[in-house]
Amino acid sequence: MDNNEILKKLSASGNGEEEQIEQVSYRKLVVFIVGEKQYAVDSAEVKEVVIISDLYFIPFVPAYVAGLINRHGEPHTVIDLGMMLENEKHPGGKVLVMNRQDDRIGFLITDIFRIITVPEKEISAIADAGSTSMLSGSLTLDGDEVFIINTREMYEKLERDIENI
Amino acid sequence: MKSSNATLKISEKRTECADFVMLSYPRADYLINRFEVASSLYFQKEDEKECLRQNVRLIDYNHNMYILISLDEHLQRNYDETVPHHSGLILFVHGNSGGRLFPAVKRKSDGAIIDTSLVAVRSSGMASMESMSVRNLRLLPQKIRKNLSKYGLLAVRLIPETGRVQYFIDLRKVIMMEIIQFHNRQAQNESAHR
Repeated sequence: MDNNEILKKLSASGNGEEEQIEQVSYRKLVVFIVGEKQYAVDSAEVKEVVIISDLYFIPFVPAYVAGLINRHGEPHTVIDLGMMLENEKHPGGKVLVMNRQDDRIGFLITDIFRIITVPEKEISAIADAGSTSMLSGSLTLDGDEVFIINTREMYEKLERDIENI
Repeated sequence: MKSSNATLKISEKRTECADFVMLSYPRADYLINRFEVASSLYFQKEDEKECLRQNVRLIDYNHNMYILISLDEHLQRNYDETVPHHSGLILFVHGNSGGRLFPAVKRKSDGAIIDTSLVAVRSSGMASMESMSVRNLRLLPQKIRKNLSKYGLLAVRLIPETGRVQYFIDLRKVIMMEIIQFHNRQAQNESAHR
């Protein structure tokens, strides 16, 4: 057995040290309020949070598209999360401008709650969520349930719905 | 060498500019490429009377019969605009939009010969000319752009100072949509009579 073979065997069996360390991964989430409920998205997905000023109307869009906002001279589509998730209109005071290379999009929310870092294991899957669910999981924060938004599915829903207008 | 560079810069700036006919309605301003408009005339409210019952109509102008589309009705129906109901403008746009659909209009024109080289578009919006850099316009966000272009909505200009939105629209697409709607309505009526 040459040295390489010895090392291979060692790495295959492990020396036990790594197994002692518990691998904990964390997620940093932006928690926000829509109406009475709390939702969250990964902080890396959020570019900025802005107080809404002018919301410009836009035709030929689903009812949950609230309009356009102007950010740094560029129009952004604003999705009313209350309308999209609950089919209810809530007072919307802020917009989460999303961090996307391929599009300019924002979510109309009531307010920002806080930014948290939570261990992945504290996030539970939503039992009846199918592959097209707009919620990817939930966690409990100070006794309240926070739903994590599946933004990818939201963008796909917008694309599908807009095709059918 | 210096002067040719300067000339180049000036001509680049000029090509960036475009002339638009701007039609202002309560909710938004609509920009139409001046290049698409062959001519225009003002109409009085009373001229309307003989016009007509459907979304696609005919207008007799200089002894020629042209198809007449109402931008007011298009905007009312699709953009939820309230129409000012006063005198306005008729724009004559270079024709051939929805070419294959013209026969459907012709069939309903009681034998009149329709000149399809131009199409008339009537608007009661406040009209003005706007010359501006095309860089003032912005493409719509990606997810909605493709769909809105189907409806003739090409670009947007948001004006924070006034809170106004200006939409750059493709008038030929608007004409096409109106003729398709006319065509579909006719087809429905014909099948109902059978």
